[in-house]
Amino acid sequence: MGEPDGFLARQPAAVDSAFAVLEKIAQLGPGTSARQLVEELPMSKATVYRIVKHLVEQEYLVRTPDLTGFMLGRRVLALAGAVTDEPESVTP
Amino acid sequence: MVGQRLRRTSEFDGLDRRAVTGADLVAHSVAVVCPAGSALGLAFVLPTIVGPGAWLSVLIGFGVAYLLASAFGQFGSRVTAAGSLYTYAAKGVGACAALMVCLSLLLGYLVLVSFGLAAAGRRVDVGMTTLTGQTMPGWLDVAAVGVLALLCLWVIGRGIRWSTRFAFIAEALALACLGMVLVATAVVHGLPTAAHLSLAGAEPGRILAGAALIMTITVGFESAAALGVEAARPFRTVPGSLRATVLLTGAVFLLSVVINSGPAGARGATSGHWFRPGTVHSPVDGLVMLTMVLPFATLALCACTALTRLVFSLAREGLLPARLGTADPRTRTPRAATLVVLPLAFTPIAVTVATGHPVGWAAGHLLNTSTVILCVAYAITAVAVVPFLSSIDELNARAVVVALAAAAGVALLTAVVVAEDSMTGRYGVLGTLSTVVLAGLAWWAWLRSRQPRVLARVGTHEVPLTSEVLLNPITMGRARG
Repeated sequence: MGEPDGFLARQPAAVDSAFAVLEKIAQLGPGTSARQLVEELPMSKATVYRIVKHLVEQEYLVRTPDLTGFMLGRRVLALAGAVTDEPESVTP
Repeated sequence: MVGQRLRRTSEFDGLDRRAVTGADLVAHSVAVVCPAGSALGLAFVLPTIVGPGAWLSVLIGFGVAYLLASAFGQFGSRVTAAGSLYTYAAKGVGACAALMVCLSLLLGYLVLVSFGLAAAGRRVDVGMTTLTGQTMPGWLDVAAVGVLALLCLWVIGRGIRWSTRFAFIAEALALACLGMVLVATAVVHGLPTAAHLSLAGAEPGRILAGAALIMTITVGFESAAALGVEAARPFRTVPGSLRATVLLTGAVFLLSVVINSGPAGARGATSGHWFRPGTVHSPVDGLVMLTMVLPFATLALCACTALTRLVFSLAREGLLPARLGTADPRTRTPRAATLVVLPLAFTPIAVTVATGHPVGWAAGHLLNTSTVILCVAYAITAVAVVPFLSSIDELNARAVVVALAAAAGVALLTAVVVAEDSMTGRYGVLGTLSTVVLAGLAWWAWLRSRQPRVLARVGTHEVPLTSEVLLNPITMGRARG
C-alpha cells in the first residue's frame, strides 16, 4: 500500500520494462499476447509475465475478452485525458 | 475485432461495481472462516484430540489452504466474475465439472449460512446461562436465530459496502475478544515450554487427522472471489485477499493452539469455560460467549452474500430463473436472490426445532458433509489451473507445481475425513458426494440436449467495458506521442 504502483525508487529498470511493455502493446495494438511480447522485447518470459500481471492489477492493461491478449487500460486513458483536458498544465 | 466483443455494460450490470476496498474484502473472507469462533472452540480441544504435535496439524491444514489460495489466485488475477470457483472451474475443466463445483458451492454456502445462524443462536442461549447461572427458556435460541436472520437481511439490503464494512468491524471486535482470552489464559496458566511443543510421542496418523479437521474450518476462505465484480481493482485485491485470509486466520489459530498446548490445556481450560473451568456460573465466560454471537452471525451474513452472488451469476447465465438475476437499483444488491436464499438456509433450523432437537443439530451434522464436498470442489478448481493457463498460453512451472500440490494436499486430507466417516459406519459424506457428482452430470447432460445455448454460457466472466480500454485510433495516436 505504501508503494501504490509497486515499484521501488531503486528499481528504475522495472519502470523502463513496464513502459517498454506499454509502448509495445500500443504499437502492436489491442490483442497483443504475452508470447508476442516475449518475442518482441529483450526480456525473459518470466519478466514479461510478471510485468504484464502487475500492469493488469493496476489497470494500466486490460485483458481481451478471450483472456489471451492485452489492451491499454483506463489508467492510460486517464493519463491521456488529463493531458488533453488541461493542456496549459503541461506547457513549460 | 476486439472492440466488437467488448461491452458497454457489464454482464453483471446492477451490482455495485468496484465498490469494495481490499481490507473489506479480506474481512468478508475472514468472516466466513470465523477464526475467533473456531479458535475459542476447536483450538482449546485440538491439543487433547491430536496429542503432541497439534501445532503441526495447524501448519499442515493451513499450508494446504495457502496452496489453494495461491492456485485460485491464478484465476483471480485474470478473471472477474460473481460465480467464484464455479466460473474458475468452467474456464479450466469445462462445463460438466463446473456444474459439479457449482452444486458443491450452493450446498456448502447454504449450510454455512444455516450453521452460522444456529451457532449464533446457540451462543445466545449458552452465554446467557453462563452469565446468569440460570437455565434459559427453550425458545431463546430459536428467537435469537430469527432476530439475527432479520439483522442479516437488513445489513445485506443496505448494500455491499455496508455488509463488508460490518464484517470488518465484527471481525475486529471478535479477534480483540479472542486476544483478551488468549492473554488471560497465558497469564493465568503460563506459556507453553519447549517440552509442551515437542513432537516426542506424536503419532503421524493423529497429526494428519488433526490437519484434516483444520482443513474443514478453513472452508469459505475463497468467498471473496464471489465479490470479484464488486471489488475495487479486483485483479489485485481478490488474489491478495485469498492469501491474506489464510495467513491471518492461520496465524490466529496457530497462536491459539500453541497457547492451549501448554499448562492451560493440562488444567482443563476448555471451550466455553476459558476462565472458570468446570463452573456453570461464570459471568466473564458468559460475556465472551455472548461476544461470539457477532462472528457467527457475520459468518451467516458473508456466506449468504457469497451465495447470492453465485445465484445471481447463474441466473444471468440462464441456469436459474431470470428473476434471480435482478438487482435492486437503489442498493445495487441481488435482492431477489437474497429473499430466496435466506429462507432456504432456515430450513435445517426449522426441521431441527420441529423434531425437538437443539437448534444447531441439523446444521452441525450437515456442516461436516458440506465441508468435505467444498474441499472436493477446491481440488477440482485447483487442477483446473493447469488447462486454464495452458489455454491462454501462460503456463509456468511454479503455477503448475502449486496447483497440483494444492489439489493433492486437499485430496489427501479429504480422503482422511471420508475414511474416518466410513469407518464409523456412517456413509453420509460419501453418499452426498456421489449425489452431487451425479446431479452435476445429469444437469450437464440435460443442458447439452435441451439448452445448448445456456450450456455455452456456463462460466461467463466480466469482459472489459468499452469505457475501460483505450481503443480509439485517434486517442491511441496521442498515447503513442
